[in-house]
Amino acid sequence: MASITLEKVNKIYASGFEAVHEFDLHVADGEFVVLVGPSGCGKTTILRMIAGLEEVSGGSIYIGDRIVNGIAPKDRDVAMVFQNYALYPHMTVAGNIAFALKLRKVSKSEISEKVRKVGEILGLSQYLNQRPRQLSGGQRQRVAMGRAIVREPAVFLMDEPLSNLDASLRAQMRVEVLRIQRHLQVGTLYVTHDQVEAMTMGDRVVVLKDGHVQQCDTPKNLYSHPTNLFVAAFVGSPAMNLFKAGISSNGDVLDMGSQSIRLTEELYIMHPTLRQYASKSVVVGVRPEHLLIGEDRADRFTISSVIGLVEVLGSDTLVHFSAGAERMYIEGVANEAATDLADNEFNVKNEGIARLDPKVSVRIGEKVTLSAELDSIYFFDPITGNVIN
Amino acid sequence: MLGKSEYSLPPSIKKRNSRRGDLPKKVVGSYWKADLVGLMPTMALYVFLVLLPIVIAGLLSLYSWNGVGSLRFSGFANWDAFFHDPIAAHSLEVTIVLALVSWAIQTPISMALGFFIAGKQRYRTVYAALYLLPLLLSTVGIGLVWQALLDPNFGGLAWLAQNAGLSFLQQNWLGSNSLALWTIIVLIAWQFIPFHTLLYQMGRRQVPNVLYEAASIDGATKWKQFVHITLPQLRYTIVVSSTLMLVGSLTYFDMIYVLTDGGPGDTTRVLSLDMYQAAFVANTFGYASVLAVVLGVIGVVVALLLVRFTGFSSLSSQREGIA
Repeated sequence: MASITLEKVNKIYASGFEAVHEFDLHVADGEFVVLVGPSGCGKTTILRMIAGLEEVSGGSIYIGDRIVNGIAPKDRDVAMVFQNYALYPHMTVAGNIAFALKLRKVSKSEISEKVRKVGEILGLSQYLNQRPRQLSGGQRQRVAMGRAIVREPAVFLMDEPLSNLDASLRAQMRVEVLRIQRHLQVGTLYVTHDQVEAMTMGDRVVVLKDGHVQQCDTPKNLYSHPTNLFVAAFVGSPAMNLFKAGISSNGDVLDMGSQSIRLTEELYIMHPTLRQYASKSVVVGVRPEHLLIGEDRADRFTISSVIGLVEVLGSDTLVHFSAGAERMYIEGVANEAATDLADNEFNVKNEGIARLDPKVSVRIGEKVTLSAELDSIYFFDPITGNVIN
Repeated sequence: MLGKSEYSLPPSIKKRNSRRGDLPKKVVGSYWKADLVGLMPTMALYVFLVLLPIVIAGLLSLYSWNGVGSLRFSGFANWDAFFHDPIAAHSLEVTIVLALVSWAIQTPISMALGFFIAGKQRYRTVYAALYLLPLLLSTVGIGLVWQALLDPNFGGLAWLAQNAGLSFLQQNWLGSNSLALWTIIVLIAWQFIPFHTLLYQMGRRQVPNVLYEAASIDGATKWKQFVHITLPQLRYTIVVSSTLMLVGSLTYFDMIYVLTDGGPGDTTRVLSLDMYQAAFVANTFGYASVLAVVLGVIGVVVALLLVRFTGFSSLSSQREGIA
């Protein structure tokens, strides 16, 4: 078991495309780190460079204390779970799991003992003699896991291992992968594009975009202290509401489209740098789950809005609303607000979403005041994208 | 084969797959007629060009016939002659040696070239086009050209031997007892390797790259990847190629006929040549038919054995289950 360290790792393809830019990361032994980002952000490339399947253009990769840049995949002592599992179709489940051990010339009795044990851990005991094609998607995924864990490698690399499973199985396997990793205490780098997986599984999460690290932090900090617009929009579901706004020259009023919101002294205490943004534009962020209906009080941040669409989920109700403001679009992040549903009878162009208590009853076209605690309001610089503290 | 696999399906699947399951009997009947009409041309060709000649050859082997006169029933006299004919036994031996050695030479070379073409090297397509040239040439043409090249007095190799200091090339390639069969085996390989290269290239391209990646991470060297990934994944390609090679060289005739006509002596006299001479030189069509039946039976047995031992008959997918 070992740590993984990447120092200023670059990947530039022959075409000149820079897939990964100066990437630094340390995964401690036993730690579970998730790489997350939209497709094409370089996360899989990083994983493949660590595995040795892809050459490094610059920088160093360490597994433990050993620099592995020029070392062949087979000598790196890593195990990888592929997105499409890459099971050997001509071998049985036991053969798949045992393959790496056979290559290492482990004794037959030891192999069968280990395979039996792994089969038990993963609930594959009764399938050991079947071929991959006879298994369901979830079982195949387990075989892929089994192939990785039987070797007791220095590190685990997982490339979107759950993305081929259906939603309920994915939720179940999420817990299971985590359980196995906690049990084995092997340093793990896990790649996903699913921010829910990232948030629920990672000790730490690295958010990547276009080969650049946006933020590397604990899930909790990513959620509550995003460093920039991209992280703010990427983490959380539905995504954070982001509105374009401007601050008046005296700094008292926030002009957000058709509405003016008073900026209290309290907000300035929370975001001292905001004072420098007088008569400049900013982006205002508020998470859907922090919005409440009503509570129109001076100590809260209030938005007058018109409801354009109501989605009843049972556990909560998603309300799409218009605040007469312009929504900020972030490249690479899906925009969940039903912006284009402007053809409803009230002609409400939705710019934001509020996640409300299901007991609250609202109607389309209703005018409501939405409000949030002051400390759940974020400000971002629209040019740099960085958070304003 | 098809019927067998269909019967083994559970009834529920059979019903679901059958587009006729819910149709009334009358309609099903008319479909059958349509199918039959559609099959007719192919069936007719098969019966007249494949089945009938086999039956005729089988019957003819029981007659004595010189090709023009009347048929005379001779019972198993031709078969008896075959089992006591030292030339036929020798021809059979030469045929078997030719088939096995051809297979042993052509398979690894075709595989290596096929993998090379399937790779990512530069100028790959240029090489590929060059390899495949022999495929475009007629066998007789190839035979005549090589005959000229191998001529011990005026041939290209002799010229090289005399002018380029490559004296080991000065051999009587087609006229020496010890060399003729091997020369022919090499020329057959030269002619057929391109085709099998194509097969292996196609097969290798079908193997998903991710299997090699997984194996390399699992600790497999290039050789182990070849043994544990490439060979099993290419199982059906190997069966198809080997069947074509073995059965093809059993009946190989034209180039040998052009180059040596079985000589020197009987060293390159394969069974098909023996058959040709029995029929069209000695005018003993009954005996030639015996040889034809023997060749046919050997070919079918070889093909069946290959299919049997490699499990080809089950036609299961080699890829399913990767993901």
